[in-house]
Amino acid sequence: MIRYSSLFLILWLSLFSSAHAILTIEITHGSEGSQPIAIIPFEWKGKGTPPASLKNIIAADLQRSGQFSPLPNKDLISRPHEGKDVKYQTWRALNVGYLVVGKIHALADGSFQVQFQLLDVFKGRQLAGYSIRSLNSGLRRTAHHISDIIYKTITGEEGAFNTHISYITVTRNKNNKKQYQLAIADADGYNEKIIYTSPQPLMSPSWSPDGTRLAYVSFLAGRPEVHVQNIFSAKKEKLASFKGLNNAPRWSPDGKYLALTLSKDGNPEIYIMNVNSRKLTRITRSYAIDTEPEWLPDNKGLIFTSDRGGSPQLYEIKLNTNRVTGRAQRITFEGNYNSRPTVSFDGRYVAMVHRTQGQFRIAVLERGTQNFRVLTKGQLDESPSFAPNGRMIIFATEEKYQGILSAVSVDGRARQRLSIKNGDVREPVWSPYKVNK
Amino acid sequence: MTIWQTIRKNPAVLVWAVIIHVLAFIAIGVSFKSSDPKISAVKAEKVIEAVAIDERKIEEELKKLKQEDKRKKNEQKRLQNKANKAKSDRRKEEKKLRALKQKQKEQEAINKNKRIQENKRLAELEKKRKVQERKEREAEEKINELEKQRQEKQAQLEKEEKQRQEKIAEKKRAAEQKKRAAYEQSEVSKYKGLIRGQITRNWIFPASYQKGMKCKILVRLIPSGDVVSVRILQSSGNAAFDRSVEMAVNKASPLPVPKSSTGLFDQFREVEFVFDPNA
Repeated sequence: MIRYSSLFLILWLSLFSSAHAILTIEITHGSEGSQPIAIIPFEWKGKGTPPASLKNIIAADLQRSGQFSPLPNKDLISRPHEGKDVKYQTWRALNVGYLVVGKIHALADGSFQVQFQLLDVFKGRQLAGYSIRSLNSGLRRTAHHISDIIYKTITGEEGAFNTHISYITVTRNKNNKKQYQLAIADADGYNEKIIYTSPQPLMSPSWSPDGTRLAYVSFLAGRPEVHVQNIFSAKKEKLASFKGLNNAPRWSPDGKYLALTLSKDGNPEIYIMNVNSRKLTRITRSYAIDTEPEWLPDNKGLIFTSDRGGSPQLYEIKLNTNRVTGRAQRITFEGNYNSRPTVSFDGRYVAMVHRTQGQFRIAVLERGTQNFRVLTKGQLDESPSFAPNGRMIIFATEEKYQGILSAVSVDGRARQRLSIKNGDVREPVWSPYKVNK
Repeated sequence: MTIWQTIRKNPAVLVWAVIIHVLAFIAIGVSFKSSDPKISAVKAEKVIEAVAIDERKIEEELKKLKQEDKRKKNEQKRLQNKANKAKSDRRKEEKKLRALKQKQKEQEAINKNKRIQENKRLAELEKKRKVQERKEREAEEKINELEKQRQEKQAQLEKEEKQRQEKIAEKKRAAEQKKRAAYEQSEVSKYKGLIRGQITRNWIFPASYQKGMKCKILVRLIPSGDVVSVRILQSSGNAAFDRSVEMAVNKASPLPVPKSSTGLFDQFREVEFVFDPNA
């Protein structure tokens, strides 16, 4: 009997162990690398040379996001233009996970039909495929659109390639006089359009959340005033021209309010203005300088710079619509200089200018975890602004005493200089998604 | 009393009945003839004619009839006698038969008796035989029983010896197994670590990663370490996260696995991976 029961036990144990014989391996870390992707130059079906290299635009977009590393041209071992012509085996050997192929057909009316496919090399399968009609002038936008589709398909997040930036440039006119310009360009710095030129300084542009208007500070009247300009109609209006400073306007996420800094009561304080009624609500009351307000999602609060603690630091104040519901709380504790906040659309990150060892750099704070990370390596990096998907930050920096624009991914993996044709460039701001130029 | 019973009891009645019927038929047959109207007309003429011609013939006919009647009476008497004789013969025969039957009966009784005696004797013999048989059987059973006991004892001894041997072998095996298991475990965990490293290097978190995302997959490998299939057992709910996991495994292929010759590869034919950055 004992023998039988022990036999049974052995049998039972063997059953048990065979049912659980599958090895389990836990993967708890990923790598800091970026996803290799092969983008094959698009086949050109038309006369002459194509007006734009979609391949280069897409590759630059993806590279800038930090999530991808496009293969250099010399590594493109074959150049198919359609999924059915792809020999996946060869790409697998290169350990490239994704492949983009496509064609541009020039149409009789001067427009183009752009066809592209995103392929999963290991599965040998198409992940996305579209045919997009494009105007000649719109080929770059079409390329950004394709970048967005690729980005969304692979990362699961909205891409922000087909968006815009606004910034201020300082140039000299033919009389060698300084002129200040408010410009709009594609998110990669191309297709620049000057929408306002002034002989006096311009500062702090801010997009309305519907992407139709820009608020900015103009010194045309000899002192800072807040103006608003419709980017389509060029219609301008003066929004704030109170005594003293009228600075740092920031549109609320719902578009109804503008947060700004006014010194009409003596000391620079944060106010909220109802854009329609122009009614002001004072938010801060301190003897220190409170400035550079930035909204949290859903108008739930403001983050601003204040030197009330002795050195510039970021503070957060909670709001209910436009009413203060608590005391301002300090949120930055790294170093003795943190200013100029920008908040990601979901409120997860706050990027800022952070001074470390005498250098001004862009740093990011993850609000939930208090994780603080310096993203850039410049000497005078300033004016950070989040992309609408919260994955990239555009900022201004200096190169050979000239202001230029750069973008950095929120994880710091990718940094890329934006190409802006001329002048000294400052104070970039990234547009919301909804901009139709 | 039915007719048949009457007849059997008195056969003469039958004879009489036959005779009477015959006569009756003859009489009726005549009258039938005369009753036929068609024929009778012609015959009647002839009869009339005959009557007229020959009186003597009637005389003769009458005489004939008388003679006939006498003859018939004689015949009847003869038949009667014959019947009587037959009756008496039959009685004699019956008597004889009865005697015979009696004798037969007696003989049967004797035979029966004899048979009973014989059966008795046979039963006696059978009984004796059975007793003998039983005795023999019992003897045999006893022998068998003894043999069986002897065999059982033998088997018991053998079993004990075998168990003793088995125990020794078992101990030896267990020791070897322990050693082997320890070796296997260290090898398996070594390869698990190698695989983990290789996949970690190839896994790129998607931008849309959110805390709590977790994906479980089943990967099938061939002895070269090449990934032949990736099946998602538990999705993270985020297509990009799931895809990053599949991509990581595919890119990491071929994975480092023990050589088939070690016998350890079987454990790596199917490997479950849990991608869980929060673990």
